Amino acid sequence: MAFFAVSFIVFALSSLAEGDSSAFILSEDAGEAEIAAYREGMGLDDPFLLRYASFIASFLRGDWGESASGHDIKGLILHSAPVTVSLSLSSLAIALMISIPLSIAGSRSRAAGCFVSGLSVTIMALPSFLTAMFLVLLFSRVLDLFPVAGYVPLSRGVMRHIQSLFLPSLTLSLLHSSLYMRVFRKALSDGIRSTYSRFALSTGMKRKQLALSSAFRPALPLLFSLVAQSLVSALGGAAVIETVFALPGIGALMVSAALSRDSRLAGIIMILLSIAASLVFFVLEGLLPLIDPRIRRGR
Amino acid sequence: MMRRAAAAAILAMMLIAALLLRGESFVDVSERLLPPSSMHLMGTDTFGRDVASRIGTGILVSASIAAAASSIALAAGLALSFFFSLWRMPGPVFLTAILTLKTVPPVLLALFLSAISGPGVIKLAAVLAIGHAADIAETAYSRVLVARSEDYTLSAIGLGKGRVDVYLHHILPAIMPYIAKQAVSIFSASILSEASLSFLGCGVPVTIPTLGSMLSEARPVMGQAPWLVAFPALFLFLIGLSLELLASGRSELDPSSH
Repeated sequence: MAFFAVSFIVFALSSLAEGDSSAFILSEDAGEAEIAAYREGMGLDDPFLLRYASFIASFLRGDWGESASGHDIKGLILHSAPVTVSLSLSSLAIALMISIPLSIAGSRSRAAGCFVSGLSVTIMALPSFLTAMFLVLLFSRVLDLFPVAGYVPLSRGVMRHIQSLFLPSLTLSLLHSSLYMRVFRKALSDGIRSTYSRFALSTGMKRKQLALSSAFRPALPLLFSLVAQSLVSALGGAAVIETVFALPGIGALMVSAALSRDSRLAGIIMILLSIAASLVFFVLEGLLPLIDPRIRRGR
Repeated sequence: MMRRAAAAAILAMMLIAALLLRGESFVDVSERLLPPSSMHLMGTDTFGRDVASRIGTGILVSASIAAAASSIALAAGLALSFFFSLWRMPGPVFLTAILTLKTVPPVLLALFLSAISGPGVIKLAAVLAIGHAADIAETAYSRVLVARSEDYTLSAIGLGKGRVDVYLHHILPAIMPYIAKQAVSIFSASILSEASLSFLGCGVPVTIPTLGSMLSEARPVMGQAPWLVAFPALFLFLIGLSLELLASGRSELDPSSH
């Protein structure tokens, strides 16, 4: 459903642009007849819906065509997808490692709460490329621990792979964790202040146990939705980070497509990413009833 | 309350500073990469242009793009909420449409449009508004559902008041705080997205200075001329921070928070 909507929009918009592609590709002095022949050959004179159908058919066959610079789009994407997937997964892992302990600490004491919300507001106020630049200054220029930019694939050593991905994933994860901390901490303190946890306390439940069962557990579904949301934005929104750190991922590919006005490549990336995003949301909808009995019982 | 007042004061000062600093900046190769001085308050960049006046113009450009994006989104939110109060929307269909929009992050959409038709100020504002349309539509939908099942709304309808009357007096006041808050957060998100896009070179055309494009020009010479990064970054941070403080917390307009 989402696939058809997005692909239709992408196709409609790029065909608006494609109308002029005959002017781009043929030379300046091409005559009327040559332009007509080119349009005929590319099938540009067919009715709109027919062209859409053939676009979808070739997309589903896996025939994604060539980019403006003449490379095979499928090859480009298969080459850069692992980078982006590896980056998003490692950034999610770091984000969870940062945000869960900090939000638990933040919901327990006032001072820690102040620190945590200060940190998350600061990170949210900075655009990601600035955070990235500061981290590079700190870790690469001053401490000299990690490379400034560049990508080392997994096949050329695990350690170097992790090193090359550390700073970009740290940047992305700070971004995600600032959002998690804000929402998750609120959910935790709501859980602690709720009537059911007061009741549990009055029956003599230990504080640790209480925190786990009546604060952490009800907040868990919310955390899952947040993670899904940020996985979606990481898959698509890593464009900035990948460019800053010169990682050859999907986002960087999208940026170069945008800069070179390659509507076909950009359109295919957009459709693929929205399919990926729909899959993430789909999995989330399957998972939520498993961890949340309230949804399972149809409330 | 104090926090919001401070944030608003910082924003106002920023706007005044931008208006004062704004001015034509000229390419002067003999004055490349000068550190801050009394002549050039914030130094000069790689082409010898005055950083201070470029920052002033940049802030105004960014702010007007963000203002345009958030007012388009605000208008869309109000229009949608009016339609929702007239007819019952089929919920699942509407929510699916929203989910579809949400699968495409705003920055990605902007990159795609820039691939099709190149950079542009008006296009950028429109794209940012469309990219955030899902959020405001969702808010409008859920809040209208709540407001129209309130007793006072139902009794007003029962008394035979007109649709427009009911909307203006019973639904609009109830949903306004939420929509307004959403518009503020769209404003700050747009500032950040615009900075990122301009940093990538896919935002506004290169002839127009914005904080994002200034930072992207400054990055290669970061070591020799740290002021080229420091000043735009500082302004961007202050703007982002005060908008963040303004948008967070409960709305002053929301009567339930008093």
